Amino acid sequence: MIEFIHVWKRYHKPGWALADISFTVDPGEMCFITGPSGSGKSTILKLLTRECGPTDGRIRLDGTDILRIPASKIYILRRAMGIVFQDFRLWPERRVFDNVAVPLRVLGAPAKELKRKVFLALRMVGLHHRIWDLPGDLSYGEQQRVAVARALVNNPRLLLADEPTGNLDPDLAGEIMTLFREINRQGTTVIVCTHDREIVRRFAGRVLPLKEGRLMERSSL
Amino acid sequence: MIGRRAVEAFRDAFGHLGRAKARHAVSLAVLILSFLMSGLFLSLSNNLRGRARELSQDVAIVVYLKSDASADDRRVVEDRFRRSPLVASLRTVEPQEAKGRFLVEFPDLKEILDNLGRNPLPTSLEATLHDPAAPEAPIASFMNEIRTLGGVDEVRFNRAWSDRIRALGRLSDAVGLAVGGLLILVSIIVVSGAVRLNILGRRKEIDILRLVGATNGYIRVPFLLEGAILGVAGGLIAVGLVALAVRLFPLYLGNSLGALQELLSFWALSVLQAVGLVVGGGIAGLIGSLTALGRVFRT
Repeated sequence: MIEFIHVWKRYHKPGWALADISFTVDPGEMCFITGPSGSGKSTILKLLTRECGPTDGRIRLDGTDILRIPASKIYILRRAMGIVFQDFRLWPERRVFDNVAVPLRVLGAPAKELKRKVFLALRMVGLHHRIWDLPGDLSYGEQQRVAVARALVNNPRLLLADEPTGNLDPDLAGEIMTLFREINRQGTTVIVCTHDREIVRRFAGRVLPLKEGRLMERSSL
Repeated sequence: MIGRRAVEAFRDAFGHLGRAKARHAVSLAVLILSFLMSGLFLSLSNNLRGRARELSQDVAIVVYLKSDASADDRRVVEDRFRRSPLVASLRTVEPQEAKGRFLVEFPDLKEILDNLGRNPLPTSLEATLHDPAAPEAPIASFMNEIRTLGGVDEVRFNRAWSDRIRALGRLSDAVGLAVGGLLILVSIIVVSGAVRLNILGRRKEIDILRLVGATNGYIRVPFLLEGAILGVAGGLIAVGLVALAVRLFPLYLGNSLGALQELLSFWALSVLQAVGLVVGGGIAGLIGSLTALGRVFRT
């Protein structure tokens, strides 16, 4: 499903953010990209969402070279993905319902369908009873679950999570990861970037270890 | 779907406006000032054009006949007028009627006229023109021809005042266009700045929208509407203030202007002009938003 083929990436500073990265992620797989800060984990997600392009190499999604997608059509690529961030990125002045509904509004979903899907997504993360609260009224763990619900509401084939447990204590981090595991069991491909070795150890899955922009052997991490 | 999206876009745009009230109040004030100035000059120009039109109705070529002009002389002059394509109608004003008019215009001078013992006012012919604003050259040529006819003492054409007032109207238009145009340019820059700050303040929201697959249009339309709403509101308020000025000006300032009151007063804007100001406001706001979007989204 996802193919990185000899991908290189350099930002406007010396050194490579990613150096000759090649890997594949199969449909329905759950995969961890691990490594310390600055190892290139987030860059891989940015390349997948076309927030930036590689300096060299190719990236394929379902056989399509995503670098060939014109800028005006990138939104189509992103609609097939759900993304969860470390800092949640919720709109503080909008209620939980409106935050979760954003991807559906963008798609122009009818009001009835929108309400139903938002409710189902919130029920999946166990927050359907907080639907009319503001994000500020929720705990960090609950806010991250709202962000997960927003990422899932559109039934994406691919869920990308960038340090999703970075702001959470171990118990809440465990809750979120259990949620990801459940989502993955329902058929969604999940890629989690994390520097938390404990999380990786507790939740078995394929691991792609990164160090200074290079993909390392699992044993060398 | 389009209707639903339009409602959402308007809701978002009003939401933007509600969040940065002070910034948008400044933009609105500049827009109002710009379109108020344009509206006032338009209103002044309406008055001057109206006055010129009123004067044009009295525009006529007047031929004063000599006191010893014969009936044949008079007939020749009348025939020449009737044959001219410039002339719409011809009327003879006998000395008695001329005296009557004089006394209506200058009642204080009745005694002087009575002391003369005889009516000094001559017979005259008044010719109205098909087009009171017709070019000067053919009229002057026709008048010169009349001057050569027997029995003609003097030929006058009283269009100078209406021409001057019409020129004042054009000047008012030009000043209005220049001052209004400059202020509208300033208002576009101010709106652009306000919308730009709003976009920068909502950068994170925009990033989220992009990442969930929003099109550029989806993201931009509320910001465009934000500028357009500000502009339309500015135009509407300006039109209201011009209407207020039209009503209040004669009550508070008009009388102190004395004879100038006729010229320096405001006439109501036509529906077309009012709509033009409101639409112009919307377009100015839209341009402001567009420039802000162009600058921010390029970076």
